[in-house]
Amino acid sequence: MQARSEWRVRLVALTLLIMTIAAGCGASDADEDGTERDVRAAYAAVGKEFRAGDERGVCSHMSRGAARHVGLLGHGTPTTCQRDIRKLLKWIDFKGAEPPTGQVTAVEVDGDKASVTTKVSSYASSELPFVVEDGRWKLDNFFNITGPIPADF
Amino acid sequence: MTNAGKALGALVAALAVATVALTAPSPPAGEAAADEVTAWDVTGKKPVPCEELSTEIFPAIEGGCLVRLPKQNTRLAVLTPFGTLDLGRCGITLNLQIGPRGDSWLQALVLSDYPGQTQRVCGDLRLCREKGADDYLPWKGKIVRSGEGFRSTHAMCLDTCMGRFEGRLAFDLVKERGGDWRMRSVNSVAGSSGFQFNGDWKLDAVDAGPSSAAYLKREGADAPGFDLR
Repeated sequence: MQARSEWRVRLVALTLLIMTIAAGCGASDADEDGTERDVRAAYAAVGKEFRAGDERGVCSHMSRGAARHVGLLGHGTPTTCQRDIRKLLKWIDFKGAEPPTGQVTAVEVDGDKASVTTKVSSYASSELPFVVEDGRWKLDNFFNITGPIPADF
Repeated sequence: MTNAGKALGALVAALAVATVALTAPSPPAGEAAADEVTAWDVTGKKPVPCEELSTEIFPAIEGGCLVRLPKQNTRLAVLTPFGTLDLGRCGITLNLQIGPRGDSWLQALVLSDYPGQTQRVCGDLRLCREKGADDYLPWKGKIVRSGEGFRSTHAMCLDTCMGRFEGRLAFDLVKERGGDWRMRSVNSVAGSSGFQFNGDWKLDAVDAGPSSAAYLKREGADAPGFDLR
């Protein structure tokens, strides 16, 4: 009888533990306050504008750092965001690319920075950085680079 | 014996070790790692162990079996969710150094533009360097059994005119019907960097280290120089 009672106490404790963990997970979920949703929306928006070839639209979803990086590509000097994006649009081949929306496999948020992992082919993923700028999530680079362009390039 | 005779004798001795195999003992069931790698003098049917790798004078790597992979044109691209940025084809030479327990390093990449290619991107790609240092860093890796061959996965790091790309990049070592071994990266993407390699190198020679004095090179089309077991 006593053993059965102890078993019940343990069961209740276990249930409470599971509920606590579940609640804790929910609280740490970036989506709780819409942050993850906002990052996903920013990714979808820049992708839509990019595929539409709308330079102005793309630029409105990019950070100043991203605009500068695009300007530096191909040994360039940053000019205007729209002009530099026009250059990038010519270089990137859409053929075979997965649609940018609906392919997100992970979103990680750390304060005012975030990363979006996407499936770029059936066998590979790519991670893109986002940053809060002027109160909105914006794409911080078109490429997953871990260091700057070397000064002697 | 005349000098010419001695030279001929040395040549015959060198040719006697002209075929080699790199073998790894079969791992326990369900375990893919190649714990030990040994070069074999196939002609003499005797093992020539790969020496321990040393990083004492890093970034130079000493010891091990040095597998030479002459320059091949490799197609490079960056995959992004918005599309693919094709960087073109670059001539890349690889040297794979394998230690006795499957530890490996990939180094000595020489990049050159593909003849006739209008893009000039290959000069804008190079191995990473430590800040303030001149020496290029080799890519640390691990070689494991994979199917009938091996897979060597390396921590790739490339500095480019777009910035630095890093990630784990896999190369497959596969045996062809003729007995030749090739190292391939087919649509291989370095981690989540999106940096893609499409290359196919033929294994040309194995240097099993100074103590074994075995420099083992493929000799002619009918005499495959390598076997990886």
